[in-house]
Amino acid sequence: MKRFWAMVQNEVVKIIKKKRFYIVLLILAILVPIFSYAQMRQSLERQESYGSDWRLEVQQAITDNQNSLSSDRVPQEWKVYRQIYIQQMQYYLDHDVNPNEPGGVTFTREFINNSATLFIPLMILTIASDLVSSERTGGTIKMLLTRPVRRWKVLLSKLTALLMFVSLIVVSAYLVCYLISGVFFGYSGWSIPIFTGFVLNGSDVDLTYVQATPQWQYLLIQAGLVWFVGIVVALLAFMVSVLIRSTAASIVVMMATLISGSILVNMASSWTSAKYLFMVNLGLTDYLAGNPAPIDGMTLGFSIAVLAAWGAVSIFVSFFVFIKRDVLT
Amino acid sequence: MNSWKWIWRTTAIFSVIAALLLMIGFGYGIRKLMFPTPSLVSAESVSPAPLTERAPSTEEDRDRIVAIGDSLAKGTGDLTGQGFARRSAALLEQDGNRDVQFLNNLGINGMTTTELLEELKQPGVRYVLKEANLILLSIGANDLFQGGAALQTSGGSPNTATWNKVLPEAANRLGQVLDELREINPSARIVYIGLYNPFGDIPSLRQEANQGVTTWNTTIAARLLTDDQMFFTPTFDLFQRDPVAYLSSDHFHPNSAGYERIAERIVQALR
Repeated sequence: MKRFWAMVQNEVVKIIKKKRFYIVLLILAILVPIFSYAQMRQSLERQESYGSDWRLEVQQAITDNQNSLSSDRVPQEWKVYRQIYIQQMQYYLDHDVNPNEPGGVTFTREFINNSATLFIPLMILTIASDLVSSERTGGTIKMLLTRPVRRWKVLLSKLTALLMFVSLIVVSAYLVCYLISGVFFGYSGWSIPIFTGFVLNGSDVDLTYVQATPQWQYLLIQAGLVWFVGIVVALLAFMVSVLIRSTAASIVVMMATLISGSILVNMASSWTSAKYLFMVNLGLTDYLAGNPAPIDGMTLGFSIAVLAAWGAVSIFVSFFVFIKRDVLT
Repeated sequence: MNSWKWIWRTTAIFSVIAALLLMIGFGYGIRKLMFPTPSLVSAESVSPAPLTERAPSTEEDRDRIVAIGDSLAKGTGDLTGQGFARRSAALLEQDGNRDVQFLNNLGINGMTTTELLEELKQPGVRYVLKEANLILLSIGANDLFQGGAALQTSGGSPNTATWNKVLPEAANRLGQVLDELREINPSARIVYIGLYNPFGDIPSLRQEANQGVTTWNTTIAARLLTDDQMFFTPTFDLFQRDPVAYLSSDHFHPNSAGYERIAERIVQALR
């Protein structure tokens, strides 16, 4: 057991030496100020037209969406989406709660919501994609496997190190985002109530389960969901990295599937069996926010089950292939 | 080598803490989202005062304008998207006597008096109307013309018989709308935009529609006169001589020039 942890330590040190984690932090540290600044400009512009009264702004958003409902040019799915949005905004307005109270915490919530399906998975790929394939490219895999250690232990130590970094990436995304956006918007907003539990029946919103969740709890749940998605993406990238020799190719394969997911979500609503693909199920945070699922019949439980199944299969495939494969060629 | 040991320890400790935190969040989220409990009470308790009980702001030094009603209020047909609402605000601003703030445009395409009565029950709408001191109202055309559908469906052209039936009911509902607006905001100036005849260039429809629109306008004008702070803005004559020049391509809504002329009328009465 002690030797196993020494191996994990070795893998962690390798990842840190390759400076992959610093790159992730650096990307966040560069991008978050850009988004914060853009967001600040936008809210300044809004303040010019609505004064400081958010209620007027929310009511205008409701009216604008009502107008687009009567237009024949708007596709049906968008109408359902907008009807749900109208009812949620109405609920916020009726309870006199600002859905977008400006602040570092709100910005973090929105930023993570928008980056949960693509941006954070990409950060994870930075570390996961070359974990095994780089050993092959560099030729170090022979050294690794000639030592008197079982192959599955070698792979497991790599996987453990990877999962440690998934947790670190998710948490540091939150930290960096909060610390930097706080400079622009202030560090307050932990206790603002966010309404969760909008149950969707077609285009109608069932309000019986709606609860006011303090924003810090919302962030905690959101982080948990993003973390789960991150782990599944990491497992898949790990499998691809075992299967494909070239690091570049394994990154491209994973990126292509992730991007295809974000495209499919926008157009697959009539192809219902697409819901078993892992990449359309990455938007777990949408269930929390009360956004409609991209395909009928998708629920939080369903998406978690699909993701878990893909994750389990990729663990199995990674270990099976890694143990059986002849590395000398 | 010692420094690597130190890096490994901190990484390990931080990642274990992070993983525990995230696991808690995930578990809590699952419980909350997959096994929800109905608890409206907690949602009620977060808002100290519901929106309906908020007092309106009382600064009287500026015009705070809200437009409400149908597609005309919204500005449909105006290529710049301003409509008479924003155009009147701009004209008032040009006068330079008072500060002008355009609050909201609550116009919704195809709205009828019945739908407007429903809309006025919404807390958000009531809040906006309370904040205003100048309300621009355009409603009724969809009750009378069924949103211009009369023009397209040959059988449904407005004739005298339907006018006589529809008109008193719609006028009655408009009366209720005005009562409601007055109740929501006891002091605001309310400007009603009179109807014009969109069928002026169609000889077969012109005469009957002229008759109906005129009856409507006089009925409503009489109702508005009962309140000192309600104004009737006539638009009938603006589209009488050359409707095509001031109507947009849908033959029903004004175009930019048409809206500009309506806005001028509104502002003239307020100066």
